[in-house]
Amino acid sequence: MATDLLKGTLDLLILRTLTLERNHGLGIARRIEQVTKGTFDVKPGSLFPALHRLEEQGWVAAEWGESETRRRAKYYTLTKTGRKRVESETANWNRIALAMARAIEATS
Amino acid sequence: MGRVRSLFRNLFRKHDVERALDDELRAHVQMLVDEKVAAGIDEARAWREAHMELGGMDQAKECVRNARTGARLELVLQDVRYAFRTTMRAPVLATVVILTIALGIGANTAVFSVFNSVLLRPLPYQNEQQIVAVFERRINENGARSPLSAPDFLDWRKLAGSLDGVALYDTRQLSITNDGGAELVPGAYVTAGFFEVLRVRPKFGRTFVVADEDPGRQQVALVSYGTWQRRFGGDAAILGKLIYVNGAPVQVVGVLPDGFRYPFAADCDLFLPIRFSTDQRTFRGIHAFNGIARVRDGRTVEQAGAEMDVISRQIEHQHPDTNSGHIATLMPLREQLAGRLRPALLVLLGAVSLVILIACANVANLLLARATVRTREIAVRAALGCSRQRLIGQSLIESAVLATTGAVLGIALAWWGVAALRATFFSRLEFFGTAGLDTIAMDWRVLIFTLGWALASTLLFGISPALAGARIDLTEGLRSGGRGMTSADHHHFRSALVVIQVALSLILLTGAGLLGKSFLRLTSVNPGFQPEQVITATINVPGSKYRSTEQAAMFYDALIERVAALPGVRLVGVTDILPLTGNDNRTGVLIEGSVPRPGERRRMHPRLVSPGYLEAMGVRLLEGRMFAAADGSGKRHVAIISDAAARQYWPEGSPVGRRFATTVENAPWMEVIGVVGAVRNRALDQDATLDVYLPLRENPFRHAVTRVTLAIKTGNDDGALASSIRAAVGSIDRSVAVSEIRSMESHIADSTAPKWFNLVLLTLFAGIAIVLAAAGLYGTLAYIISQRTSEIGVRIALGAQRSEVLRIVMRRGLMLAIAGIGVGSAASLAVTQLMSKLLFGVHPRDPLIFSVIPLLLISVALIASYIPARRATRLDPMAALRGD
Repeated sequence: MATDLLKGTLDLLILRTLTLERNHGLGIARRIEQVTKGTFDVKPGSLFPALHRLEEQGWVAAEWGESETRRRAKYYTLTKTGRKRVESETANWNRIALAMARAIEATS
Repeated sequence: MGRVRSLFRNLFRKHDVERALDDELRAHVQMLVDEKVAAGIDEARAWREAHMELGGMDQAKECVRNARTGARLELVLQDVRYAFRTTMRAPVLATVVILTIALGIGANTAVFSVFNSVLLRPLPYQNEQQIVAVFERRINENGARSPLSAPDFLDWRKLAGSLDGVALYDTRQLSITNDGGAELVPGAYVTAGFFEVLRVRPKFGRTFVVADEDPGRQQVALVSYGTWQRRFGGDAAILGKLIYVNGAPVQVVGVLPDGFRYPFAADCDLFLPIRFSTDQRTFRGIHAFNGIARVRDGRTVEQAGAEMDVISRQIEHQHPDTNSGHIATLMPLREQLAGRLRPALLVLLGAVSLVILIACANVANLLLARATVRTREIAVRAALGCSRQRLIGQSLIESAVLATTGAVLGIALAWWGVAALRATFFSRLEFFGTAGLDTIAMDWRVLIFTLGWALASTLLFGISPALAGARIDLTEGLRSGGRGMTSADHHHFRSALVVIQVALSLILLTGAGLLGKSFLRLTSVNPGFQPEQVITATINVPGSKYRSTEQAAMFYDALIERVAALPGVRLVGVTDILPLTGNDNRTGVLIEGSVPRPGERRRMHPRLVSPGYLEAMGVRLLEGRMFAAADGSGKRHVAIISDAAARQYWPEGSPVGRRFATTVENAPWMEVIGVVGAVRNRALDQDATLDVYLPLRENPFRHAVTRVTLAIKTGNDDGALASSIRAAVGSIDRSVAVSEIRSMESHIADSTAPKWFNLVLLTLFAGIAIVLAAAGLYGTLAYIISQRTSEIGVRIALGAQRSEVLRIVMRRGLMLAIAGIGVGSAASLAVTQLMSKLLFGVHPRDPLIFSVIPLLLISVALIASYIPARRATRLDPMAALRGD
């Protein structure tokens, strides 16, 4: 089930997924699903635009390779600038989350 | 992979990008299928499910495309392509809109640029607003303007504190003699201080000082930069060089800077200091000069003018016999130079504005028409999911395509227009005395203003369909013909637009008609002589060689004898003042046996002529006889007067045998021996002057007549005469210069050229206006018909005659036209009053014009209505009833 994800949030999810290892589109979607325990079910209609945008901005690089099942697949890897982006976006996210938590606490 | 590189790749390597995307998505689906199959689902179902999860291949691709860099740009490009296609589908409408915009921009910019250059742009001198023209106003003669006299000038030079310099000038052609013979060049005599008034410093050498005005000293000269380069080859040793001007040696003392423009002629190669003759210096009554002055910094022109008033009255008090009623007047130089052009240019301005309005109304009309016709299309697209933003965006782009094309064309037209105006008309600036203004260029501010304004109105009217269309009830729009789209409001608006267009066209046409009739009147005026087959040539003898009247007259006699012997010459003579060339002389006269009434100033305009001149020019003899060879020498002093003078000063009885004298000191009594027809000397639309013709030797002025015009009546139109004339002159005296050999008719044409120009331009604009108005009318009617197709179809099916349909439609068109004519006529009655200064022999409310022009417009309206009406009658009722 897809929930509306903010663009930036999806970007961050994808980038963080790729910090560990390179992956193809399907693999990234499955991983996000797994890691968030099913909360975020990323449909291809959101995933691929996000991936391509990230690629255009230079934070991931793509190349064709062979999947586990010996099929052709397009693999995405984090670039150096991508890694920096992950760090800054994560820090950003944490800051926002903290602020939100405080706000909620203060008003409950 | 940077954003920019991605942009380029997305735009220009679309094919590769799309293929890669396709591959990736297919691979994705394949892996999904593998997953499912591995989980035990059968292949067919796996494929179906995989596709469903993908959400549809095309939708997925679309999502990716939208996220790409340059997606929006691509949309715009798509819209532009679409816009071109739709524009091509209605080429006539597109062409009309584009041409209308181009015309509006082009004409507007060209005329306003010229207007700005001529009337508004400052003169090319330092602090030019402080430079004034100086002339005299005669209080006792209704404020008539008069040139200045030397003694007055010398007094002003001493007394006027608020003027930082005053100087006189006299533009003349000067003859420079070199080995090849004598050549006339444009030049001027100026007093010391002339260049200082203009704040011009010489490039080399010096300007004139008061000492140069002393006739006892070596005559000096200043040359223009161009002359220094051309004639003297940029000789570094130019200072001190002697050249021969008007036969006398003159020393060059300075070279003027490049870029200096003499304000009173298109060119001025040579400047000499004015040396007043003894007469000019002593007689305050001789007014022969023009003046300029510079108002001191810190004072205004009005303040300086007030001081000049006071000084004038002082002088008047001291010299009541010559200066009573003479007031020195100052006028900003720019105004004096451009003033003659002002009425004409204002008319132009008015005309252009009207054309612009009509053009705008047309564009609005056409675009609104297009809008209503395409309601359905917009409704369909909205129903298919096109966002409102996109609809408006597309409309905007469509209008922008039209507007941009029109704008580009308009700029080209403006460029060409300015060049054309400059070349054909303003090259003869002497007509308007606005020399030095040949740097007429397209004014960028005007262009940008007009462009912006034209684009804005196009875009506004272009997107109105989308704006409205996005709001309408879609089902209503999808139904037959989309009639329900607030078309009623549009309808009234468009009808009003057409009425306005017709009204404005009427105003323009009426103006053109009035000018046309005025011009016809002007050219049919009898000038008092017969210019057909008359050739004229200007002859300039060097004053240093021909000092006395007798010497000059002998030369002219010899010349006439030689020229008369040339083949093809029937009659020949000379005069010092040729009609319609802007020259004139005036002298006071005393009439024997008659006393002037109190306040009456008796004047005649003397013309020195040889025997044969009046005959060559075809001036009619009314009484008495023409000059014979013996007249002028000997004891009897004779003269011929024009019948205007005869009626003025000898109202009873024949003036032949009666006597008069000029008021020049020691002037002899002259006997009238003949009366000839009056000649319009100044201009065709001004009264004939009170002329008196004197034999050459009766020159009442002290100085010899060194410049005359040869008038030759030829038997045929012979072009070879020019060289024969030069040869004849050269055979007698090689130091005499001949110039401007042209027909008398060309002189007349020159004198009417300004009016001709006005007429041509106004007619042009009126023509454009009519075309636009007719197009507007046609468009509106065509639209009405298209809206009422089904109704018309029903009528025809029910048996209405085609002629009845025709009548209904045409009546509509006529009503609009008549409404427009009504409004236009009322407006014209008011507007043409403003033109009265430009009209000659025609009343601004001339009944003939005011009845013919509306008829003309009605016929145009009839034709414009007939065409769409006829198409209406051709409608197939079945097709019409089926509903679009």
